[in-house]
Amino acid sequence: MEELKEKLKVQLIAQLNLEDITPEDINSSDPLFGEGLGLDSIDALEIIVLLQKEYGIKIEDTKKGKEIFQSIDTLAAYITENRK
Amino acid sequence: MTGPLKHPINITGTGIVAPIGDNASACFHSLVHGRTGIGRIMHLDTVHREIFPVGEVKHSNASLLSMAGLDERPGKFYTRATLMSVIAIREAIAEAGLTEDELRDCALVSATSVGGMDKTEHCYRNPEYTSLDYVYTHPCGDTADSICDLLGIQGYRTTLSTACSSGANALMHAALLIRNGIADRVIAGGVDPLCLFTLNGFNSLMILDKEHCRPFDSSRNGLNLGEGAGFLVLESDRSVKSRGAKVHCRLTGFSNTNDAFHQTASSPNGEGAYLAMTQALESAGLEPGQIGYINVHGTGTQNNDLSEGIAIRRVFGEKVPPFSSTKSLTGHALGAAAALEAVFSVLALTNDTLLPQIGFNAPVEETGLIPVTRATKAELSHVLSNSFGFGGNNSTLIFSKQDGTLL
Amino acid sequence: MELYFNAASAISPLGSFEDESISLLFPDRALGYFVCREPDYKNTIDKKLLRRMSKFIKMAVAGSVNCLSEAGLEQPDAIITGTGLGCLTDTIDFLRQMNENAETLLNPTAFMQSTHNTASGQIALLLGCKNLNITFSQKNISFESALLHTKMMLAGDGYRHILVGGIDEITPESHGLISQTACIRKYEWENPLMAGEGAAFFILSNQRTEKTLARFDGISIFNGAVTDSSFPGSFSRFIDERIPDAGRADLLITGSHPSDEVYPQLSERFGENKILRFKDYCGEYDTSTSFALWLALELISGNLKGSRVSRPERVLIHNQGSGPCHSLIKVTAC
Repeated sequence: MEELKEKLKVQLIAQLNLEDITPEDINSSDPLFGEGLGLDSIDALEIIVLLQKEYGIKIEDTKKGKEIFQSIDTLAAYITENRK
Repeated sequence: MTGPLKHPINITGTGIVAPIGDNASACFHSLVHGRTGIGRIMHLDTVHREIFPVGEVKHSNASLLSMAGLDERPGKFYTRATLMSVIAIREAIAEAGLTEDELRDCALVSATSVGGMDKTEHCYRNPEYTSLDYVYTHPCGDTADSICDLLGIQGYRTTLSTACSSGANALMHAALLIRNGIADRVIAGGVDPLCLFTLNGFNSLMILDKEHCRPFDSSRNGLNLGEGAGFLVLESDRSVKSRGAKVHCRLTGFSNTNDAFHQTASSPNGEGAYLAMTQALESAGLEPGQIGYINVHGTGTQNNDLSEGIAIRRVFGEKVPPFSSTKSLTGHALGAAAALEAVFSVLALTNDTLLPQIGFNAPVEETGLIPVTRATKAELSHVLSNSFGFGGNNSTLIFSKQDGTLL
Repeated sequence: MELYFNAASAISPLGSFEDESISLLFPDRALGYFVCREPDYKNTIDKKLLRRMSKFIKMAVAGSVNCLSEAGLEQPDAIITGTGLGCLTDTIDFLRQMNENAETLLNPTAFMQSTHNTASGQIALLLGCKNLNITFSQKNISFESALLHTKMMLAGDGYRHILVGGIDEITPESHGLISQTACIRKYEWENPLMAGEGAAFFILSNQRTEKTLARFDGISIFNGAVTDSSFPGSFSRFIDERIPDAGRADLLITGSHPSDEVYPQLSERFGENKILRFKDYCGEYDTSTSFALWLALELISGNLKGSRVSRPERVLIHNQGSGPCHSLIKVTAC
């Protein structure tokens, strides 16, 4: 799980062009949206593409993303449960 | 903005190619009977063919070529945007009765979001396609240049490209050309072809409905893409008098504002839309209560219809005029949408008919707005049309009968 | 009504507003096309916004922000832009993804930012500016259309200061494609025409202020074919019909090249020493007239180093591109 979380941080930084942010800057329990990393609805769509590309997980309903993408912790938990 | 009584903008001709008809009268027939043009993809070659319904113009490019009265010539090809535009403009100029000489001096103000993209995406990196002719047809402005070439128009031409409000902004630019005495006759409208670029783009934004779209319905779940071309002939009083032209109605109000909220999403209070509608009313010198019908933007996405509905409530309060989204029949034609809907608005006004929409069952809870679902005769003096686009771009046009308060 | 340019900001192959001084020297031609010498965007744009922006959007937003601050304005009464080819980087990126991934797993950001009005929309977003916001895209008269619209709006009630600009970007791939076509006119010449890029923004106002750079005397956009029928072989006479006193300018900044049909007439009318061929400095691109206008305002203000032209009073700008249309813009020191 920890390994997955670290990998996710690297992938998010690359996919979302989070310049000047390193994996160490992201606390796994920090909120990704709003405060925290300050991601927005477009980033949510980008994460949906990332999940499908890298983990084969398809999210059809963008509203569902809100709960799953709360933090690196929730994202990693969802991937572990649903990956193929 | 310039006062309402200054230099009226007369509409003397309309022309259209849409998923619901190849000309204005065919479209009107489909509109009043609620006949949809949305269905399974027939002409666009895509992996999503069985997944997303679209509003396609029911002709292949070869068929559009002959409808436009053109021949295939070696080394010369026309994009779908150019072909649809030429057909629509021919109808508009025939209705306006413009002679060849009059046409030559016209200005052309077109609008598009992707222009020749259907050709670009077919040729780009396609090993079977070695010609680079698509590089010439790719720019948005090429469609306008090609139209001018084919129809013998030598005046000023330009193109607005503001995503889904483009067509409305073209009419606004045209109106200013007339009010400022830069042109006496302007052919203005917009065009967009269905293409892989926009189909895949809207799919990546996850706002395409796999079912038929249901604008302003509580169960709405996204939009269906459409395509088409719509053009209007706009003339100054001087031009109308000198030609003895028949005026159908007038463009009396227009406004463009920005929501300044998000690159793609509309604000929760519909601020940009609210400002567009109020400023357009102001520019026409009208009170909200004078509007007899609204052709809403109404894409069918969660976000747009809620935001637009709230903005409409803010402008009209409890007395919201009859309204409908004709996108329920045509799909969303992006850069052409506002131009198609300008033609529909003129048809509604000149036929004194409230246009119906389909796919409505229950109102959006927050606004409680119920659209027109059956064509209804009503005496109309003023019709308002909304068109909103990416980049927070919000435009409103108002069309009015020539008589009444305006002269 | 008299109109004034109250601020101008450009990012071009000559440099940007961030440079202490700009010299009118031929930029490096080694690449085969001109690219902008860009500023450090972190000085003008929030990092969170910057992460998604292509060069096109960055140039537009930074150029606008700088232009507004030069004019001492917080918000313009309208934002009007022109671009010939729009956001090429994002457009090409999305096309490439579609091609490589067979229409699946596409990133929305490139698509969302591919529309031509992305720049004007982003400027509005950054400024919180809810006023009119439109974008023209008509090949080599895209900026001119924007300027014409600006002029018409300022003639109406309630408008004072409008932000107007032109932007086009070049990418190695777009250059590769364009260079194989006739989009860039090909000449045998010591300085053959090369492709380029740039962004230039202006505040056009109906109020003269202490910041005013020059008076805007007029703009005319016309089909080159018309000049032949109206004034056979006399382009230089035609220009006086379009803008009063155009022919009496003491500097002509032109996008024509000595091999272009109209050039010999311009040369005869103005004399070679009164002609500046601006594309030697910025390259050929659809909105290059915006660079030429910036150049005119800088020369009038005496801001450019190394210029053989010193502080002209009346400047006429002429441009033509691969399309049928020509344009004329006249500005006068005041």
